[in-house]
Amino acid sequence: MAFFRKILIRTVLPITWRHSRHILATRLLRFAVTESDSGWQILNALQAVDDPKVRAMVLQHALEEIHHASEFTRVSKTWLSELPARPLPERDPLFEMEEGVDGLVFFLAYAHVGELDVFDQFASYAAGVGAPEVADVFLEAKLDEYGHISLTWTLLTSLVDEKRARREVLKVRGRRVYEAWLRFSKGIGDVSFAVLLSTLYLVFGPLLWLPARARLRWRGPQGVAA
Amino acid sequence: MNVLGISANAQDASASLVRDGHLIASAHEEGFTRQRHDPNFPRFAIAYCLEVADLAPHEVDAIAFFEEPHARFTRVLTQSFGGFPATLPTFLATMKDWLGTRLWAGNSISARLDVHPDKIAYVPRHISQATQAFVSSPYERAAVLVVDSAGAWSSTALFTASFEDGRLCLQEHEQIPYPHSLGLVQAVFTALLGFRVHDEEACLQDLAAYGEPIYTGRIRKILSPEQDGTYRVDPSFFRFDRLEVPPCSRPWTHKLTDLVGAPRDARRPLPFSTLSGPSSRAPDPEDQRYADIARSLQEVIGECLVGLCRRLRETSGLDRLCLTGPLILDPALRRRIQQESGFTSIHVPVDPGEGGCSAGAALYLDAQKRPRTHQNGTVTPFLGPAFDETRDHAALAHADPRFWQRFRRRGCRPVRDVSLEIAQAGEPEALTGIVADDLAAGRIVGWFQGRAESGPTALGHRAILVDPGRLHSVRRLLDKVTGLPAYRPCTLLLRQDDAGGLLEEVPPRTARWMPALIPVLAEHRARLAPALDTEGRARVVICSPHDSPILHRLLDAFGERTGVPALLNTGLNERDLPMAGSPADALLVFMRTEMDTIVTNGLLARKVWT
Amino acid sequence: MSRPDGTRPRGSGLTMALRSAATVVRALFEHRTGWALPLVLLLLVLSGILAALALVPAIAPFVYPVL
Repeated sequence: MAFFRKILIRTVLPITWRHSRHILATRLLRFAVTESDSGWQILNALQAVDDPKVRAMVLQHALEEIHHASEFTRVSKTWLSELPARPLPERDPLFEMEEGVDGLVFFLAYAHVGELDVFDQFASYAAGVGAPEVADVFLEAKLDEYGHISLTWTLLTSLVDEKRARREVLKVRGRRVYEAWLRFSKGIGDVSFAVLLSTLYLVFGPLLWLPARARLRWRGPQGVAA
Repeated sequence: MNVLGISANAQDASASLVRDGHLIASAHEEGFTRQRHDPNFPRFAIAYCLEVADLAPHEVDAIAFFEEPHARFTRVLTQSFGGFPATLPTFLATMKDWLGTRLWAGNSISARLDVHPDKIAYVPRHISQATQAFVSSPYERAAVLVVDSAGAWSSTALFTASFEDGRLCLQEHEQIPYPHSLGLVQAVFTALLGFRVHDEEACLQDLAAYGEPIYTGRIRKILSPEQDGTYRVDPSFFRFDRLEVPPCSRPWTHKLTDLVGAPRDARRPLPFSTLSGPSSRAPDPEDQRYADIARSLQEVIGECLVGLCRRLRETSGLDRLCLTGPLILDPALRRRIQQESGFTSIHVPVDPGEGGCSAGAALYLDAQKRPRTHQNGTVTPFLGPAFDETRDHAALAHADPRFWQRFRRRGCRPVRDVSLEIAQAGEPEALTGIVADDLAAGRIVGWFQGRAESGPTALGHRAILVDPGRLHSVRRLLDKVTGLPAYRPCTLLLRQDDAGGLLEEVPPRTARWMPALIPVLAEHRARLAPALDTEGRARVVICSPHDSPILHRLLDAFGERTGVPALLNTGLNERDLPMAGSPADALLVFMRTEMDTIVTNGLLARKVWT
Repeated sequence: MSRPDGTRPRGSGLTMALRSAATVVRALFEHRTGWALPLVLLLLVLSGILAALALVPAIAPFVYPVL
């Protein structure tokens, strides 16, 4: 799956991103949102960390993710003549205190797999983007992800033995395949829904246009019955 | 009785909890999620409120949702078909949003919190806003003006409010319906001048100080104050439907750009600055045009608001006014209303924006269910979470600042030669002495203490403080810490007792939570220059010893050292992020920027440059 | 085992959804937008169908992201 994704990044993206800097800028903002979410997830997990040395490392990790978000935002703004209102996804914590150690294990496994995937992909993105300043951001982030891979594995194996750690990583891989399937099917669902809604809009539009305009017409301030 | 108020799918999702008529907790979701103006279901803010009240969700007596989504849906549909066929893209985006989540707000609350659906009530949005404004005021009876952007059908609403035999009475006189919305007009101009909609309206307001009102004639063609005190908007200049969902791109028609000129490219920096000296260059004509448009818009909106106030004064026969709505966050507009409306006393709530609606909804529902004694307007603006987190103290001792270098704001001084001094914050007397020394020496201090502000304005509990008399420090604050543009003056934090010695006027009562625009005495203008606008006025926030005893003491200590007990205050955050919601957030600002000292509850840490 | 007082009763999702739908229809007439009734009824039926499809495991991924 990672292989197919790499092929897609290296072949399709250079066409879209180089053709339209607006598309590139919008995509970079989405990377920023993802990195920002990573930073938030780490800060959320910080509530479970008592050991001061580990806490310092985790804070540093959060700092790096936040920096990546900031860098992606910075380069995207250089191509945007207007600042779009941000679509802000709902925070869905990967770790909750009530889940205890098991929850922390899952979170670390998930973070570890996420960092591995990103490490793979960022090199491809850097090669495909066709803009040196953006490629630099991807490559710098990739360097940092290497450290994150190592940190998350170390923390994971400090909680459970290596055998269980690998099992957890495998489970997370399965979940991420499912999430990728969800993203793919979302695309299809969105298109079908859009077609359906567009049909309704175009059928009803001519009929409802006049009454809607009439409803919006100025009638002066409207008194309210006591 | 416990009533939980929820505002969601709005610009600032929030939650509030009212216990026996008293607001005991209120927080914006953005403080928990690090997403500025987070609109999503406020699960963390709700969890915080329930924690304060020590309740499980199903133990809450009632839940008030801040608007009637069904009513709003009818407006959104009308808006979509009124603009047929151009509104197809926004129709698709909004319907997905509405049919997916927004229409089922009650179901969503019931499912997420596992509460009985009968506990959930919808409160019309303008009623939520009016209640919040009136109940937090010191008045037994008052006129209430709600100036909104776009909720359901009401854009502006005029009320009389009173307490009669223990019951809250809100009598709505009239409303000006959508699309005649002052808030939406301002949002469109925010986008036109290259700022982010539903986020950077304050940039437009601050830019106005540098302009001349030479476009008022043109703007009156699209926003017309009427003789009877009302106003009309000509919607043919706007594409308000585009403001419903991100990216809110180009919400205008060609008629608007034909009238006032092309939009500003967001990448074009604006040369205006509160820090400019006499030698700074005159702005480019194009930059001046943007400032003139901002000023002209502010002028015409001000005319409309004054007209509405006078109309309300005539209708109600009252001389006390409660004012609310996102537009009211502009201190220049508030000042104008104060001076021209004819009302002798004006109250503004802690959070007049959308985030304050959860409190209003909860207060309204509470007032419907039980008799209410008036609170005499005792308001504290600090109802957000407090932290007793001390683990960061030990963690920071293990941190090496050299590892932060690559991850800091661009242009920040290298940290190769810096070490950290970390100490327990100590007793208030000692702490304020140390921090006052740092401030007087020109250091930039992050200050994270007590309960968080429950509104959008930094009031000193999640603050970055700096000596206003040190231009270099203020420049560093703007360039290397917050990233805020230099034309946006920070607020000036001072004590009520010191106001007479620094300001030309007495600050209003509401300056404890809402910056008041007040001229500074001439003899202090040089020293306080970075806090002043072009007319020598500062945005003043008053620190009360009741709300913030330690901050009060800090101002005293700083005044002893410098002779001027006033500090520049801005939110503890970088641009595009909300105010630090946790000690860890505060530490991240410290690590990433040129902040010199951070004080978070039990921890004091300073960078020492060797 | 009965659930604590104040919690959501089992199976109340459908009832709530129907009540919300009725509220939407009522709101149309309250706000002088009754002309949109046919469209709104279709949209509500569409939402209902999507919500029902979301209960079918194979179809759910195509619908969840929409709902």
